Amino acid sequence: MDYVVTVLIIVMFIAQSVYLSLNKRWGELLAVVLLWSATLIYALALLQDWQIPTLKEGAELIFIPVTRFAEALFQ
Amino acid sequence: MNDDNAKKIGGYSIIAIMVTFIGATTVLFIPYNTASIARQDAWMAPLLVFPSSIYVIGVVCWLGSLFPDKGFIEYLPLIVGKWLGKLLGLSYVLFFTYFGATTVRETLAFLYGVGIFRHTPGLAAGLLLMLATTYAIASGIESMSRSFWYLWLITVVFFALAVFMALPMVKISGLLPIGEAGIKNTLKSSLLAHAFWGEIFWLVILFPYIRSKREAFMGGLAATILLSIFVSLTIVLCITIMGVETTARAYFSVFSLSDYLESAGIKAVLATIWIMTFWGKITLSQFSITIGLSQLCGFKDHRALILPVAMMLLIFSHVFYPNNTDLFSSVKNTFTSMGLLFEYILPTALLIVAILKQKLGILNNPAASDQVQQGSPNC
Repeated sequence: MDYVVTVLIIVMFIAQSVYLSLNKRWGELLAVVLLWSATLIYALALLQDWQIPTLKEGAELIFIPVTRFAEALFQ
Repeated sequence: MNDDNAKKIGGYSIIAIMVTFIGATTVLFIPYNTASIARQDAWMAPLLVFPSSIYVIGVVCWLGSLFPDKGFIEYLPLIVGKWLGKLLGLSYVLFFTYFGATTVRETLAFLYGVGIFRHTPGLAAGLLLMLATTYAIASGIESMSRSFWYLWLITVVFFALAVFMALPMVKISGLLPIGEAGIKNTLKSSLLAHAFWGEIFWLVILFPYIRSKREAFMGGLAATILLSIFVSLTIVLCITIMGVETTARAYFSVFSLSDYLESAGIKAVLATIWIMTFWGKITLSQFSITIGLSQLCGFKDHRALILPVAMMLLIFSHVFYPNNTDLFSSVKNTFTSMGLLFEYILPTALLIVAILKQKLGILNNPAASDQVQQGSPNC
């Protein structure tokens, strides 16, 4: 299923990029290319079992110590 | 406003949207979290967070009324300046993305956790779900709010049915002695609940689409009252029927509760309505990312972003959380303080700056200037 979803992402990526460039919507094209690229990279990481940094890890790095501190206030 | 086809939504729709949005995960995740800390006093946590969620509604409505013709991410640069505003906008879009991906993963955890799916790949189930949410967003805010309304009616009817079926099994002695956990433990148990109730902050995304600020405030208020009652009632039922130990261990307490009910079909019905409420939650999360990104980039139309955002959420939900244990521990440890920052502290700081700028006459918004002449805005 991972392969199917990755292929689906590539197909949609190409289709939408072509559509937006034909309509000369450059700003939206740039945003869409960035979003699809990020999605594709993480889809490939999922497929190949690569370990790459994620938003969740960043959030944990910042917010877990704060939660621990807040909990410690009620010990 | 970015969506040209947008129609205004009323106070009743706000109740339906917010109860569905917050209730979907709250009813599932709060009982075991609170019961593991406050034991039989866990039912107090939803009542303790009620005032703070009213506070969030007040802040959100006040902010929205200062910029009635603009979306949340659009007016951030008007409050704190261009660069800091864009940076804050980006932070909020990332927060919405984290939240959306987590919600998708919670849905899948629920679908597999209660045994609805066993052998179907998670990505396949997620793909179908994202298809439904993407269709809703592409249909526009009016269709979304109408769907939420029907969905909410069905949910309330069947949830009430389950509650009535459970009532004969209630052993009220399970709640005694009241107050044994102590004030510190009860407050500690409400920490995560604060973040969940703070999700009423999403009203800020809907604000430009709401008919009036009064309807926004009253709708949010009614939703918060209903939620506090629903969740408190659920915790009481779980503790008095299953006991504290089982409630504190069961990830999906409501469904564990349905095992105790005589009617075998009620579990399937509850599972069905919960899939629908999760659809609602993902739809609004996905909508907030799409509209937020569109406002951040200054696009007039957000349609081009709907599809990539949907696929991004699906992939992120799998990359972020390899398993359910990771998901539950991350939500408990991260979302508590993340919610505190993005739902309580930052909106308050933004409101204070906006009010100060308004008083000094340097708030760069024509609508706000009109309001200064007419008197202070209120909800």
